Amino acid sequence: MRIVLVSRYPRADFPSWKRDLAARLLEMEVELGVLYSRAPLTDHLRAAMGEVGLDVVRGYRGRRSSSPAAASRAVPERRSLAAWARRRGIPVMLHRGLGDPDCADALRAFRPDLVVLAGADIVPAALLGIPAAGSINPHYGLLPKYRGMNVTEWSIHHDDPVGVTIHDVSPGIDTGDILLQEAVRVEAADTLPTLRRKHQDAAARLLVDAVARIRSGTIERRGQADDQGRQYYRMHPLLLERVERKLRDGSYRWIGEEPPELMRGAT
Amino acid sequence: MRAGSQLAALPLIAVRDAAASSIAGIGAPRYGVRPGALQAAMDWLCLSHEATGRRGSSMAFSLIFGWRPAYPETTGYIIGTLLAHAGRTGDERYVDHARTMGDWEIKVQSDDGGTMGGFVRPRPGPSIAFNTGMVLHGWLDLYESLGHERFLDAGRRAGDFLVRTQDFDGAWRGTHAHRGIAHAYKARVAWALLRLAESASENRYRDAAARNLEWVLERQRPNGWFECCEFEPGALPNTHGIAYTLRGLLESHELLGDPRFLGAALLSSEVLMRKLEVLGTLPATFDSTWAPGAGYVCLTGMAQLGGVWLRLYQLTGDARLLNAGLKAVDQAAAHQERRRWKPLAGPLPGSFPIWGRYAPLQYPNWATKFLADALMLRDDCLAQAT
Repeated sequence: MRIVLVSRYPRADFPSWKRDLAARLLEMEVELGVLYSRAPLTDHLRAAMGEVGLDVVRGYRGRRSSSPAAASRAVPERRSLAAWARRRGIPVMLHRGLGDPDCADALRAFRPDLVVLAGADIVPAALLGIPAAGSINPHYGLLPKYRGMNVTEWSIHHDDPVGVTIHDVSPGIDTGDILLQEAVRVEAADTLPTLRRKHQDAAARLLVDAVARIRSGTIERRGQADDQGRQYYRMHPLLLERVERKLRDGSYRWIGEEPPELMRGAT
Repeated sequence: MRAGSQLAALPLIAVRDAAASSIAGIGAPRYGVRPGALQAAMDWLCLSHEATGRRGSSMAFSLIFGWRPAYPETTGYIIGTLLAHAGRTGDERYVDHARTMGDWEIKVQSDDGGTMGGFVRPRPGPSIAFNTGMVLHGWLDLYESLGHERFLDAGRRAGDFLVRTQDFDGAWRGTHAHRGIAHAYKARVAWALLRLAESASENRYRDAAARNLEWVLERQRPNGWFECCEFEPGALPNTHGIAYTLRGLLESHELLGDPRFLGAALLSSEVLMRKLEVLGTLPATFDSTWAPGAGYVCLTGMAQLGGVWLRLYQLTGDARLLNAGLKAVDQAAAHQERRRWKPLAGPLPGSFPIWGRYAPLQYPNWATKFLADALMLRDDCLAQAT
């Protein structure tokens, strides 16, 4: 089976769950490729200033300084997925945007059976038609109710359970068929960063399970109706503060509770 | 700074906006309402009243011409903002300003009961339906707050004018319409008529409002865009006019209980919330496919839409509307002028950048009014969401 992982910002693609996912897929003896959008350095700089602000400078200075204080502020030394892949001879395709014609050509040339989105930009329809078995995406929210962005935070805001959904990628936003789902258990000590790591770990595990089922032809699909969910957007800082407070003060309904049974992946 | 000093401020403000808009495109998102924003806006509205010798509120502070003359249309709905702030603070000065404005509006009310377009002139122009509706809001606010019959009497005369000049299909056009054309944003006039119907206990005002609202609903396309929402023939609808339309619809839903009006407001809001998210801001105009039509932001419209979404949150409990409302209010408030010189201590410019085509190089009184309204709603909604 030929699989392409799609991500962005190759120089800064550090989250470990992506390397874990890639490593597990290699163990399944798939042929792997990695495709990146936002590859140019200028895109990195613009995004860093826009999304991270001055932390990008602090992180860089921390790496260069030997003082413990500076090191504590530094972005931890990690290897990006792109670098990890290159060291293993895995093809890495770099493009400005997923909509670029040469991006579609490169993907077509790889002849993927499946595309797995791993923190990717929105995929244009032209790319969706290339892999024979389609494209799948890990969504950090329980579909169909929570579509869009910051859905973990929105779920906590509404006192709903949090979790991960693996779904087919369709032209709509998070509206494709649901393949696998798993709620994430929230403990008293959890914060948004720890929950994010739990979601990432669950995503890697569920994606491997989904790939195995797709390859064996045993995957089950559950469709979504448009009116079953709503699209959520980036959460305003004032509302985000309230979500963080709900976790801190224990008022979030699902702290310490067993989450609901869903379309669980194999554990 | 002395009178005429606005010309000295102009290059500083222009350079600032040029730098800000070049860094990340128009409307570089900035989050956070600065401390004292609401009080600064209210102080400026009071100053705009003093600037005309306590006639109406000055139309705007211009960076070219300084304080402009009193402007009946927008003085009308600034009254409500003053009274709302008085209710929250207990400060009677705002009631005094509002009452004085209301009496001035009675003084300049035309013989036909309407409100003239533009400034007060020795030979007034024709009464304009939209302007009349906005002043009607102010008189009703005063009547509801103070109980003084003279304001209801003036409101009845305005309402009679609106009923008399309404076309058979519910729209206002021709002599008594801005540029002679019908506008969807006159849903805000319908809202005023519904309020008058309740205060005066007369159904004919409600019937006229209902006719207009049906006409407005028929102008909405399936994608949420409103035909006839532009200010000028051949122009694109501005977020200022769109927000007028949505606010008129949602408040009319509250008064009539007709879910279609709320549904129409939510349909357009869903589209605009997504635009705000994807574009990072809201350009001043959109075409019928909701493609941006301008390279500047109408800050009045941004503040108004923030207020619309916060009101919709109050009505529906949909926290996504609260989220979008907070973002829109943040963006508008980020451009509030907060200099020490009083004419520039608290107002909102017409556009970002300051030279944008909507009220360029000036601080309209209605922009600051809508910012103040949105800031008050923001406080209420954040308390509600706790």
